[in-house]
Amino acid sequence: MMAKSDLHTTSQEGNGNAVKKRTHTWIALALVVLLTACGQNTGLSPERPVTLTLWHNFGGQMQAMMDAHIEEFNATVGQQKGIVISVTSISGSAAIQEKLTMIAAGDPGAPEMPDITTCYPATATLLADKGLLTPLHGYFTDAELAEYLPRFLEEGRLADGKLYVFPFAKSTEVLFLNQTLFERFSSATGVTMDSLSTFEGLSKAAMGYYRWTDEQTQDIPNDGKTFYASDSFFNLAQVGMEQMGVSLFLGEELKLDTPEFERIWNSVFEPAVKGGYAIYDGYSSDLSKTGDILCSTGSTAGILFYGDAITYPNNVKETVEHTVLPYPTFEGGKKIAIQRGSGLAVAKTTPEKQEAATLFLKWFTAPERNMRFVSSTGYLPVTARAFTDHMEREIAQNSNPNIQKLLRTATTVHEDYDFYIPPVFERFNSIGDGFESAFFSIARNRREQYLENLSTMDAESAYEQAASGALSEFIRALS
Amino acid sequence: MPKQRLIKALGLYRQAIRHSGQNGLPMRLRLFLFLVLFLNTIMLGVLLILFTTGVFRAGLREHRPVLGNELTHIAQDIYRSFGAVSVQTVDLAKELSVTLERNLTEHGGEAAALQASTDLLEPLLADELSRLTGALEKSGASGVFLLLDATVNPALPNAANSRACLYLKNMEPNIVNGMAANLHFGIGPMSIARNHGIYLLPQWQMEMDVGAFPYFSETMAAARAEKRPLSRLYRWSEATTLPGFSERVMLCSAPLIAADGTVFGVCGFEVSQMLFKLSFAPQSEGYDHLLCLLSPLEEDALRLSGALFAGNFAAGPAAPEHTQIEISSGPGGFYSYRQPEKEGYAGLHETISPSIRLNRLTRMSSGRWR
Repeated sequence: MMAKSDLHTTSQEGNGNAVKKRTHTWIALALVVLLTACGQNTGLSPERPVTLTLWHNFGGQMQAMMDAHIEEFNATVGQQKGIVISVTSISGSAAIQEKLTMIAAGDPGAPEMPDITTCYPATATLLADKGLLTPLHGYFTDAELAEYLPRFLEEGRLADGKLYVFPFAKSTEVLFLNQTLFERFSSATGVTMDSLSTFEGLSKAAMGYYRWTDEQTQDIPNDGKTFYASDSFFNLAQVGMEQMGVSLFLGEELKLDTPEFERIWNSVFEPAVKGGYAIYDGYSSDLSKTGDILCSTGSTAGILFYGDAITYPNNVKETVEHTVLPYPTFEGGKKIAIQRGSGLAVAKTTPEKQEAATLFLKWFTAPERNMRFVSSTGYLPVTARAFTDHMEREIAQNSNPNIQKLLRTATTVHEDYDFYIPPVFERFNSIGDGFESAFFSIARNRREQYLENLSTMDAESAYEQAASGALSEFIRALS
Repeated sequence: MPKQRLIKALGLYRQAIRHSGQNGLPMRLRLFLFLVLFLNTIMLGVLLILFTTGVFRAGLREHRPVLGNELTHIAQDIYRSFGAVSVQTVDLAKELSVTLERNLTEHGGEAAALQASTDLLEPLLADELSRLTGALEKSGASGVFLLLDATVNPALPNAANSRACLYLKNMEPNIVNGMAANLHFGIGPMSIARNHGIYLLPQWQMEMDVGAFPYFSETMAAARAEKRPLSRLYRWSEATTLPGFSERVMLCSAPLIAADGTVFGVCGFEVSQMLFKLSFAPQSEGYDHLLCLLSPLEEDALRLSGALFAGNFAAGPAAPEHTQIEISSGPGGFYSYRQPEKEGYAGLHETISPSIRLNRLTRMSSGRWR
C-alpha cells in the first residue's frame, strides 16, 4: 500500500508538475499570440494594406511609363507586402513645388501633404524644417546606398547631413538641335555644328542665322528668325560661372559685379537684343515645335517634347530630325553641366507608411527598372550599375531615335563632364525667378529700343545705344 | 476447396470476437472511445445547427448590403457628376453659339460659310479662350474643348479631317485650393498658347484630326439630322484615347448651332481616367481589393475598351485593351465577372443610363474573399 500510496503520491506530484508545465505552455502560447497580433498591427501586412499617396511631375507620355511602373509595383511587391501606391496629383514641377511650399508654410487652402512626392532639395529644406519629412538613410543599408551615384545622394542631403530627397531619375542640360533646319542654314552659310560647342560660337551662329533669314525677305526688314532659346538663363549663368572657375553666389546672395558675369551677360544679351536668341519665358520646346528656333538648351527630360515634326502656322507639317549635343562651354572654360531633377521625399507619417514608402523607393530605383524608366523619359539613371550594365543595351533596343541620341550624349556627358549642383537655401527659387524676370524685361525693352534705333542708325550703333547701361540696370534690379 | 477455406476463416473471426466479448476491451480504451464518440456527436450537432441556421453564409450575406450601399453611393455620385457636366456642356454650347456667331458677323463672316473665313478661325478661338478656361475651372471636368467645322488650310491633303480646335486640360482637376487651375494646351494655334502663357502638352497639335476620331463629326451629323433642342443633343463618348494623346478620356459634347440652324462646330468637356480614378475610387473600410468600372454593356459582357477604371487595386482590369468581362450569376447575391484567361471577380453592377452600366467589383480568388 505504502508503495502504492507512495506511488500514488508520486503520481499526484507528477500530475501537478504536468499541469504546471501545461499552464506555462498555454501562457507562452498566449504571449506568442498577443505578440504576433501586436506585430500585425504595426507592420506591413498583405491582409491590411497601407495606401500611400504620391505626387509626381511626369505628365503626358511620361505619365504612361510612370503609371505602368506603379501598377507593376502594386500588382507584385505591393500585393505581397500590403502596399498600394495611389497617385493623387500629376502636375508640373513648379506647381508641385508651389503646393509643397504652401504646405510647409501652413497656408490656408494648402492641400494635404502626400506620403511620397517628387521634390527639389530647396523645397525639401522648407518641409524638413517643419518636421514634415522623414530622413531616409536609416531605411537603407550602407551596401544599398553604395549602389547609387554619390553625387546624386549628396544632392539629397540637407543641412543636417541627413538624406531627405532620394534620387530616382536625374537630368542634366543638353543642346537640342533641329538638324534638318540647321543643315539648310549650314549649307548656305558654312556654319558648322562644331561652332555650337561654345557659347561664343552659339552667339555668332545665332546672329548669323537672324541675318540669313532676314535677307530671305528683302521687302520686309528685321523679320529674321531666332536661332536659340534657353529654358533657364539663370542655369546658364550659374553653369557658365562654374565653367570659368567662380561662383554666381556669395553666400546666399548673387555676385554679379564680376568680369566673368559680364562675359556671360555679353554673350547672351547681344544676340537676344539683335534677335538671334529668343526672349521667351516658356519652354524652348514650344518654340521648337513650330520651327521658330533651331536649337535650345534644356533638361534632358524635355526630349519627349521634341517630336519628329514641326507645324507651321498654316498647319503645314514638316518631318524633321533632331540631334542632341553636350552642353556648350565658354571658351577656355571647364566642361561642367548642371545636375537637375527632383528626387522623391517621404512624409513623416507612421512607421508602416514610412517603411512602405522606402520599399517602393528601393524597388523603383533597382538598376534594370531604373534604366527602363529613365530611357523612356529622358532622365539619367541613378545607379552606377545602370550606367555600366544596362545603358548600351537600352540604347540598342530603344525604338525612339531621339532617345537613342540623348542616351549616347548622356553617356558622353557622364564620362567627360563634371556636374554642378545648385546651392540649397530658402530664397534660391525666388532669386532664380527674379533673375529670369529681370533679364526678360530688360532684354525685351532693349530689343524694342534697338529696332527703333535701326531706322536711324546702323546696326552696331543701334545696339551700342540700346545696350548701354543694361547690365547695371540688371544688377540694380536684383540688388 | 476454396469454399471450405472461407468457412474456416469466418469461423476463426467469429471465435476471436467471442473471446473479445468474454475478456472485454480495457476500460481505459473503452472510455477513450466513448469520449471520442461523445465529442464527435456534439461537434456534428453543433455543425448541423450552424449549417441549418446559415452561419457560414452570414459573411457573404453581410458583404452584399455593404457593397450594395457603396455601389449605390458611387452610382449616384457618377450620375450627379456626369449630369452636371452634361448641363454645363449644354450651357457652354448655348453661350458659344451666340458669341461665336456674333463675332463672326462682326468680322463679315457667317456660320453657314465658316470655311470661307479661314483667317477668322484663330481670332475666333482666341476670343473664346477666357470663356473656356472659366467654364473649365467652374466645372468638375478635366478638360474643355471647342471645335469649329473648318480648317485653317483647306488646301492640305488631309484638310477634310482637320478641324480648328482649342483643347485645354486641367492637369489637377481634383485639387481644390486657392491656386489657379493648372491648365495645359493640348490642341490649338500655338500663338494663343504663347500669348496667354499656357504651357503645351508634349502631344500638342494645331488642329484636331476628326478622321481618326469621328465622335465630333457624328455629334454634328446627329444635330443636323435631328432638329431638337440643344438639351437633347449632347452626347457622351465611350472612354477612348484621342489621336496622338495617351490618356483615356470620356467626352461630353454638344453642337454649336447658329440662329439659322447651321451646325458649325461642337464644344464640351472631358472626364479623364485620372479624374475618374481620383473621384470614384471605392472607399469602404475593410475591403482592400475593390475596384469600380464605368463600362458600356453589351448583352452579358462589359466592353473594357470603352470603360473607365477607379480603384487602388491596380492589378484589376486596369489595362482594358479591347477585352471583355463576361457576367454571370454568382453566390450570395453577387455576380461573377470573368475575363477570358484572366482573373475572376465577384461584384455588383448598376445601370446608370440605358447604355451605361456601373460595375462594382471585388477580386475573388479560389472562391474566397480577398
